[in-house]
Amino acid sequence: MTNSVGVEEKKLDAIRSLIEVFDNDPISAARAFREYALNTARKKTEIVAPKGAVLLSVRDLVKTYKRGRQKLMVLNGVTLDIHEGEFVAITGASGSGKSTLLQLMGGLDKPTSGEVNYGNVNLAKLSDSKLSLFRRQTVGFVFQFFYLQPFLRLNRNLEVPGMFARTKRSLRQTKVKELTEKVGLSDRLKHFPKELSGGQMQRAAIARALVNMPKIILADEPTGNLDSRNGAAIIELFETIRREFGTTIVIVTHDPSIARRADREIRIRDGKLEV
Amino acid sequence: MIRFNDAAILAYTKLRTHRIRTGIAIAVAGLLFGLIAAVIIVAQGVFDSVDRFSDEGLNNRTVLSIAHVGQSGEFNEYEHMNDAEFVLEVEAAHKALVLKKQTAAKKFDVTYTPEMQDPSPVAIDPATKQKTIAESGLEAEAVQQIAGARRLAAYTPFDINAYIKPYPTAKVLGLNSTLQPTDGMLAYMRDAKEALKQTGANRQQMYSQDNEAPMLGVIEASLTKPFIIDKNFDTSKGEIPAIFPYSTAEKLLGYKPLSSKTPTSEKLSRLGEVRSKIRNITASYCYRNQASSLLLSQAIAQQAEITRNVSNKEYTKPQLLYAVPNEADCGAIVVTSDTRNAIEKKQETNRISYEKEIGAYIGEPTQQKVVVRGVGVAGDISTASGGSVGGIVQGLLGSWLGYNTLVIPEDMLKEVPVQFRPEAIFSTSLKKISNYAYFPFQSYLVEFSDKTQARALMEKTGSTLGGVGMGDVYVSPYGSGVLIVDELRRMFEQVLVWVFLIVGTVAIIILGSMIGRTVAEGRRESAIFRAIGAKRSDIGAIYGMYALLLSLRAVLFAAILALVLALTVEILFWHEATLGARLAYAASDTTREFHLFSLNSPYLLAIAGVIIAAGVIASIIPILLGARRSPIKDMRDDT
Repeated sequence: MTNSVGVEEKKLDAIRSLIEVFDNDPISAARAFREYALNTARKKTEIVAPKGAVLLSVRDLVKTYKRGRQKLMVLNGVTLDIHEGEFVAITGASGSGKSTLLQLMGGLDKPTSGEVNYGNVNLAKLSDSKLSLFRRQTVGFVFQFFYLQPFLRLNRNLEVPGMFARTKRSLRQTKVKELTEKVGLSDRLKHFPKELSGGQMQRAAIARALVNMPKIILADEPTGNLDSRNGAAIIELFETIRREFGTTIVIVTHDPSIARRADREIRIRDGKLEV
Repeated sequence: MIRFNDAAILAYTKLRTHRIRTGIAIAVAGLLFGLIAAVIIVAQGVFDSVDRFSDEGLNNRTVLSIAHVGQSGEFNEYEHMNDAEFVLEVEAAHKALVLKKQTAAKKFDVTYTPEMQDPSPVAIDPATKQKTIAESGLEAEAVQQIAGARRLAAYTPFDINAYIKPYPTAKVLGLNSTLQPTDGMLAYMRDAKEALKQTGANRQQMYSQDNEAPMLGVIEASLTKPFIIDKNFDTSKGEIPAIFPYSTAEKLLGYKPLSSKTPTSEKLSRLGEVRSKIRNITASYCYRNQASSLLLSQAIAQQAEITRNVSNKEYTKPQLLYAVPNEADCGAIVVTSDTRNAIEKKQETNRISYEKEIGAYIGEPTQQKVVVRGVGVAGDISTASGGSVGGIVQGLLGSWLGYNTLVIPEDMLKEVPVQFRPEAIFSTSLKKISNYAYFPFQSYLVEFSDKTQARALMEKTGSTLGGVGMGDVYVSPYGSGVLIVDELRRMFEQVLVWVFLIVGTVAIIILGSMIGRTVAEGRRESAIFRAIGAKRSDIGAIYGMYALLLSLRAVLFAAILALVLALTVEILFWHEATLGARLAYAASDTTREFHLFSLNSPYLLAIAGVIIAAGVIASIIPILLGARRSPIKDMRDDT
């Protein structure tokens, strides 16, 4: 909603400053204007989250799977909130349901019952297409096994989320360049994944998750396949991202040292939150 | 949905994932379509070349030779030997004939013995005690007279215009017959010499046995025009202009036919030489009417007898002695000595008067030498088997005017002074049917401006393109293989449709299984793409693009294979095909080439379309099944 006086004033300020810049540096002004226009356009299609407070709210989440004739309850009434800008670690034993929780929060799967709300939108009620839009714009996934496309060079690998977002190629490339500098891979842009170390691949996967500038990164055991030094570096990278972009980070991990570095640790046991 | 080029980037990675499998699928599909494409390129090359040569010879005209070969059920005396009515008629005719001859013999004091010269053909059958025609009497004059009259009465002349009426685009061009004088014969003078060594009946037999002797024919002007090289032929000298079949011209120029192994360049230069020397080629014919022919036989017989008795002192030369004419002259038979007395001469005069009275006089001897000079070359009706490309091309596409026939252009013949082209030899109108002869063979040339109508007529008469037919009317293509080529084109197109259907189905199966496996094996990747924001339609687009790229690779492989194969055929055979075509058409433009390569076929695009369609169709089911899968399940199953 943009009908408040404050918002209109801000727009006018922005236009005034653009006019000033146009007089001095028209090329930069044109770039800035384009960026402004793109952001405005994007905001129109985004599912807008409320500022501050709660970003994701999970209510009485239940997820069961059928395995043969057996019904397996993976999550059993989980309720929690993820706040904007938080660094949350979800821990628990193998099979406790932490990855399932992460996938449900990311809109990759639908709960058997309960709700995952992003703002006032219940993800369970979104169509497949809307869910894709949600994952594309709001969430960035990072996996334990990186899942980079082996036959694409790094720069192309990182562009993939931008491809699905139909972002212009030049913008994608600028973003990829910026992000690879941020994750320390700017000299590896033309390399194939097999030419990178595990740590480098995970950094690349993090950069890929950031290409569409999501509000939240959901990382499933991102250090599980790395040694401790590289693992620590990845966590540091997550902290940097949160600091610089204000991105909310939710990590599923076994590692207590990572959990300690998070703002909050959510423990799951047998599909329920540990109090 | 994902942009086209981005989908292409991601789809391309799938081609690189399973290189061997992808390679095999592309190779198999490409091989199938490549072979078809190669055949199309070669066939189109042939068709284009045919079109290029279509202004040569008669290849832009559809002409049929329509021959009426006699009436079925016509009167046959062999079947009426015991027919009482026929026997009675014959008996009466025989009596009248004998009476007529006896009266004339008496009048001119000629000896006539009916029992010897005209024995009755009627006899009594010992079994039935009925009158019958004796087998020995079937050739008797009275029998032939009555049988001929019956045939003539039942004869309905073949009306070509009425026959072709159901075909509005058909037009009669004229007769298609070789020259056959009504009285006597036109004999080919091999090496410009008359055959004078045979005697009596053998002379005639010898001529008819000379199968290699070229015949003479007169053909309508528009049909002969394309073959004429010497347009300024001087008709005033009395020579008859004619178009020679290539092999006949080659032989008359004294060349030995080149073997099939002779290099193409040599064969082509031979063709050029023959064409350039066509004005130097002559063929001579000697026309003698029946009287002249008999007199010549008599002269030759006398000569032989005198030679045989050269040392026989008791031998007396005939009183009336003839000179055998010079073999190069086709001259009259002159009397060298006549020692007959007045009575003997009177007897001879009486004999002639008697023959005139009974209608048996064959007339005064006449003879004329006919010299035919080359004004053009036509192709041969190919006798080449399918053994060589040149032979096939020549056989299919030849443009000819007749087998071993020197064809006289009708319009040029008219310009020759009339004394050199007497009606007795050169008449092209139908001859009056003799009382004693079977009905003559009539053959017409009919042009169709619509090939379909020509084909319809051939089908109606049961005639094949090879010219074999059934019934009273035989129809065969004349002058060119235009109908054969047309038929080949139609057959080719019909076969192509089936081939496309079959190979397209095979391609769908091959590409479908390939795409199906790739989609199945790419489930985890699809799940990752879904996690990072791809919609189902994006995944579909990527695999659709993959199918398209796979198909395009098959198209590329097929195209390269087809080009290589077709170019190989072209390189190996174009020389021979060019030669075959030039020989077939006896082309006036010897720089024209016959190629076996052309990309000018819509079917080549159709092949690309079929491959791409096969790929896209083959991808539909795997894509739909893949899109319905849960990404999280695929991710879980994989890890």
